Amino acid sequence: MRWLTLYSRSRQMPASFAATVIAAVGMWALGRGGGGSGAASASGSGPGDPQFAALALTAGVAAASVGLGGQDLALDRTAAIRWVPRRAAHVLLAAAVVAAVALAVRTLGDEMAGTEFIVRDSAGLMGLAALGAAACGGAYAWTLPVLWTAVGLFVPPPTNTPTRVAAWLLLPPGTPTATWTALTLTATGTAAYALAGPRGRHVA
Amino acid sequence: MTRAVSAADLAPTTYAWQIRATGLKVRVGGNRMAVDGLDLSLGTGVHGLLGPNGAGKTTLIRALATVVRPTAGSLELLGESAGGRGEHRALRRRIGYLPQEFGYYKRFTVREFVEYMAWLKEVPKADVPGAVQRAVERVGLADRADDRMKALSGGMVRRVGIAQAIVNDPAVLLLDEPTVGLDPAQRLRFRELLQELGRDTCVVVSTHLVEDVAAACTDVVLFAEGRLVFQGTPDELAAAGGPEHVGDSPLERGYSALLAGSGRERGSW
Repeated sequence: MRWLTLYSRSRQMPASFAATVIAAVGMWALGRGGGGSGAASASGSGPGDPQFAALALTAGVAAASVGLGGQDLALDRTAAIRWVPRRAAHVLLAAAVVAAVALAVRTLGDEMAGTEFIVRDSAGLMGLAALGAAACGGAYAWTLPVLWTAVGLFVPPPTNTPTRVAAWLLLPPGTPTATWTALTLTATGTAAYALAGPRGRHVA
Repeated sequence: MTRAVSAADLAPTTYAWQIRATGLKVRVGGNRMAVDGLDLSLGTGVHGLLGPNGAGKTTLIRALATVVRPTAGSLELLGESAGGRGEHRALRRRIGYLPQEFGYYKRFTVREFVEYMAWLKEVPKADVPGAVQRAVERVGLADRADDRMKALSGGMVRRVGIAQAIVNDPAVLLLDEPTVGLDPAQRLRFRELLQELGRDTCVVVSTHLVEDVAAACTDVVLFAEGRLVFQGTPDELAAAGGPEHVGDSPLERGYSALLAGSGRERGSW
């Protein structure tokens, strides 16, 4: 498993992990201070305020997305190893770690969000980051999840399917549109990144 | 101690040339053909790839390294077509590539970086430590092997780049401007290494320095505007130039004569 250590270090995973933990704890603290008992019940998602949980997961995914691009695209691309399953595993494991950190922080007390919510959002957001890496390169992979979260925070209360899709990551767990949006993003993002890899710059 | 011989070592060679390009075209960016209809066959030895800036040397090397796919024409490496999609994993195991500039994780030590590259090249697990040590020794960095990459000078980073390119004992070794940043003594050492490697490997070295070619190459490939202008020995290149051509050495005069003759020299530089 020596290669795994080298791979994770070269993809700066220790730093990403630390950033994910800090983001989760920070948002948990903010959510506890700001989102009081009244605000939490008003958004109607069961425990806690989904906005803080969604922001924490977005920050975690943005931190994790750094590792989707390698140190040198040409050297990575000319590698003999089988990239496709490794890239897919990278995306899915990153989503699992972001979710696990959020679930662990939740045990500090004051539930921010339910397990289903955390798992759904981490998977969907990480899929978006993978899509971002395949489309604009590892350094800009964070743009897609951050943009979608920003949009989600400002759409009016969702009443029809398009707005429900736009606000998928804030909807209560068990909303079919949100679950399907997350699943689609996870599947397409993972597949696109696994097959195409991070997008590179053109060198003359 | 018994020496393990793998089936790959014993398999008969089924190709005449390690690198064979026919009508090769490689598009860069939108619509510029950086390599524009190249016919080239290269076998064992050290091939110096010379040409003016923007001639397409880097693009050609990137195509040979399977970083970019050819737009048209055929490219065969070690007898295998390298043009199509696919992963070319067996082929990539046997190619070594030093890009003009390469990225690396700055906290890796030299040994860790070369080890990581050996893993990417699927060097058998048991051979990795030995192969890494050998590669690092060959570029004269054994005493710095456990220093972090960020503590190295530019010339040393270049040598680490050469070490990662040879760690898998490649059959085709592609070096893009390997001598940039090397001081004169290191350059001499590097030429010796090239000659050593060229005995059983097809080495392609792109360079701006005509004297590198004279000292270390068995074969010169002169390349301008995406096309082959000349291929021959360094002596033949020198013979192409006369006293009326620009240059301080016979090779430089040959270089300017051939480029002028091809009508491909443009601009005042």
